[in-house]
Amino acid sequence: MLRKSLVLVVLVLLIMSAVALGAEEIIIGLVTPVTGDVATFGMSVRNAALLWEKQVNSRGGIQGRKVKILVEDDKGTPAETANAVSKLISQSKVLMIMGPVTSKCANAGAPIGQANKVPVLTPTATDQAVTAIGDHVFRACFIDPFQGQVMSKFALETLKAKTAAMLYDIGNDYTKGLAENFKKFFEAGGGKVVVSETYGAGESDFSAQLTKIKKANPDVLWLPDYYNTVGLITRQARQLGIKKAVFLGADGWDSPELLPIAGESIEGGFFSNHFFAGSTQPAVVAFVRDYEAAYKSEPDALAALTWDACAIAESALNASIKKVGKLDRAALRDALAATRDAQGVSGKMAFDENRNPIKPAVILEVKNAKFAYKSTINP
Amino acid sequence: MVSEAKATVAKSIGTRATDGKQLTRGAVALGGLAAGYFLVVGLHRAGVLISDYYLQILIWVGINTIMGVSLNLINGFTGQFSLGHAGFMAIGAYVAAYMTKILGAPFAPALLVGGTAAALGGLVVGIPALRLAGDYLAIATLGFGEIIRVIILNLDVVGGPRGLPGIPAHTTFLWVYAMAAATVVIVRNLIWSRQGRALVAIREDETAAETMGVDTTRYKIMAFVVGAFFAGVAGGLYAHKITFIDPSQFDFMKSIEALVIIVLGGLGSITGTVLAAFVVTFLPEALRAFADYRMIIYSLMLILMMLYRPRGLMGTAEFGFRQLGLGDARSSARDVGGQAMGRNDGPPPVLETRGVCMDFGGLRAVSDFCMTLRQGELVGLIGPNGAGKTTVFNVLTGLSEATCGSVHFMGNDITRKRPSEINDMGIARTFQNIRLFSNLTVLDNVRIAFRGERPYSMTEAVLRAGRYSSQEEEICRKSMEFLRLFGLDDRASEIAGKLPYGAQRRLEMARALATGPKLLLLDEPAAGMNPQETHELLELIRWIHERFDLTVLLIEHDMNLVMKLCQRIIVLDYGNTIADDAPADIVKNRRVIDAYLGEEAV
Repeated sequence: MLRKSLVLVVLVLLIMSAVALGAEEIIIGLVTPVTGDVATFGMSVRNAALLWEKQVNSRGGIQGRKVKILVEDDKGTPAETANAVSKLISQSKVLMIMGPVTSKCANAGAPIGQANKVPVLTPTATDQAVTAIGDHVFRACFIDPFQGQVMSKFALETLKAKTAAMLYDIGNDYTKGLAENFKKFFEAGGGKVVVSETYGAGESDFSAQLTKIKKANPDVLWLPDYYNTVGLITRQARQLGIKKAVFLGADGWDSPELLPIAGESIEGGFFSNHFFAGSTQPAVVAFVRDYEAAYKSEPDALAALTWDACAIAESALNASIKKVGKLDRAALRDALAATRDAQGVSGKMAFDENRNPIKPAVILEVKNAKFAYKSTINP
Repeated sequence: MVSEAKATVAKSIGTRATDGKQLTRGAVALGGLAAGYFLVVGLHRAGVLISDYYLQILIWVGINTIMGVSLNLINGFTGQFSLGHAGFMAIGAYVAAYMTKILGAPFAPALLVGGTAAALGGLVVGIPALRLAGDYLAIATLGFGEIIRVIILNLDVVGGPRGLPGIPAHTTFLWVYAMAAATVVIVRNLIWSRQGRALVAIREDETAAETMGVDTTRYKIMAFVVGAFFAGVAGGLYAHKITFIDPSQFDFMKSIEALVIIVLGGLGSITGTVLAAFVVTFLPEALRAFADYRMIIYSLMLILMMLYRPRGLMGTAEFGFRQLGLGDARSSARDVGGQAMGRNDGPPPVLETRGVCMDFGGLRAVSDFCMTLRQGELVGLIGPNGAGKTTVFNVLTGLSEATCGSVHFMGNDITRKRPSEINDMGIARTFQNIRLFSNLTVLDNVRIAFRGERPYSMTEAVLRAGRYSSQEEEICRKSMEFLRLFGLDDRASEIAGKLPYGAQRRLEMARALATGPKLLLLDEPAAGMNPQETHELLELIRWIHERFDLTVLLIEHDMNLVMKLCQRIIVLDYGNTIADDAPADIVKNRRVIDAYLGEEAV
């Protein structure tokens, strides 16, 4: 008995001294939904973050310090997000929070980070309100209005469109926000939105709305929903004889599933996205290669944005540790705010005064049943 | 028949309630609550055991407790299957958040207004609940919850689908703790009162409750309104904790969460609800280490708990003052002095039916039924099966509305009155197939039937103030007297459904008499009794007839009993009155012999 406890004490002492010898680890809390309705999003985010953790540690860490990512599930619900963030801060004492993934969760989780002065960097929450929570909240993706702005600019300048129609889900914050902003910028640029039609979540017959749109005969049709609904709409639109209108969309289109659902109807459509997996830029090529090697699947936009967030975090951690010589949340926050030229897969990134990234968007075209690069639009 | 046994109850139950004990109970409750609060806050301040994270989970526990206890009032105690609790919560959350964030109101009035708005929602849902029951009500309330959500989705002032961010973080542990404690105390006090007994009676047997004078409409609406109010308060607390609300947080799953809490804890147990609120809030957090499989394990654990405790963690049991030796004697049986009951005799009660008929579809069950009962008469109503006897009872008590004709009781037309109103006026009945509140105690069965002259209000019940104490003691004393008269006092704390058959019949009569009727309708009281029991019943009916100065109308197939007991007999056949005469003449009546009695009876 005595010998057993003696061995135990020695072991504990050994472990403690080992920890004491190495530099303090950088502990980052990752809040992401690995269960619940949006678990597939959450897994992409986790995959990319853990890939970065592995790569950065194999490079020798940041300023000689190992990075450790603690993953907490938020189930895609605000209350669970609050618990996950609170646990990471008060139990695990993380240096910063990466996440939450959805805008709803970010709206509920980020205030806790702000209140505790822990920097929060969400890779994917696009709702404008998120970074307005406070000076400790950052994001790696562009905000909802931006895609509406980008695509209206594309429609006006590249497609020379004069009239547009919109069809969107009235009950979804994402599609509603995109629709409102497209209209705002399209009409500011001299175009006219001739018809604006809506539907509810789960609807699958759009013939009534599309008939009205057909009558108006617009140059472009703005469809800012997710791929599953968009596929149904484009199919029905072509069947009803809407021929002239070019279909336009946003990052919700980005799924290999879009093509089988929409079939030929989607050919010639354009959508804005965060990055293009088929790009020949070295950063993208390396990321896609490593991600595929690790997870046997092509990275989606969520994975890419998480990769961007990791790149921003890495540059800010580097700068802050270099500056103050230790792990410090305040210094990290300042370094994040001062981010310039962080290199991610969507190009070079910096933050504006509202802690939103200034980064380009890519426009992809559906061509021969594939996504093809069309152009890059800078803000 | 009238049993003298009483000593055992007095010994087993213990002392009388005194004001001293009520004060002690109040002090213990307050002290316990304060100690709990200071323990949590103390540990949190000292940074021992309770970090910000755990304090936050305790806040969720408190909010879930309010949700669960308030839903249990509707589902568990009143038996109204509601799936719309998230809707009430959403109303409270949005109204309170709108007040603080957009109008800049302080927190307390915002919470109150949120709760009140939700209570109005409860009123709206309570109305369909009057017509619907069981699965249909569940669907209707489910629909209500969704309607609320969709309305909010389309309200741009509160952000629509995008939600309402930046709500001030007013909700502290103190707020939640105080509100949860208030909910538990108020619902507990409500349940252990006249009003609460009425709610439970509705759950047990709505028809019987109604004929015992419980205004089921009023009490069902009350349950929905009170339940919705607290759900609204829970919503307000939630909104000011999470600081961001959007319609998806109050979807169907939120209602299910509340339902899981009460089913797991035990439908009809407040203690169980609090316990279950802890379990369902802490368990998913404790399982965080399982990452992707966490919710699967959580669900499995819930299934296992339900398999091993199919009636919930607590069933309908409670942990309270009784376990601490501070029980309220009023809520259990006890001995009472044997004073005589005072009864005021009003004007001579007379029942008169004029040309009553009753159709069921194309079938005329009763036609042109004319009957006059004079005060103090003991009249038999006989006839073959299907002759329409019970239908007559149902028309007299308001359970069925006569197709034509009218019923007058003591000079008032009661043809279109509700059963509870008719009971209030002085008609009580028993049922052919006994309809006791079979999961309640013998004493509670009788207590539900009791009403005083000026019954205490809900506020008095909740605050345990005013006329509450004196009336409760009075009700308990009188109920025990009734039970003793029927030889049931030594079984007062037994569950009614577990009594032997004869005792159940007696209890149903005691319950009917407890409503203080002037006319008593007995539907086949001797059914299923052996000759000895029938003989005792005969004595009992005679005795109560005299003792309570009653008019009695009796349906019975046991001709021996009818002949010995009744002063007059009315015979029905295929809905027609074929005879109305003294017993001696009835047995000689040819039509009655042909239709019902047969030759050997003559």
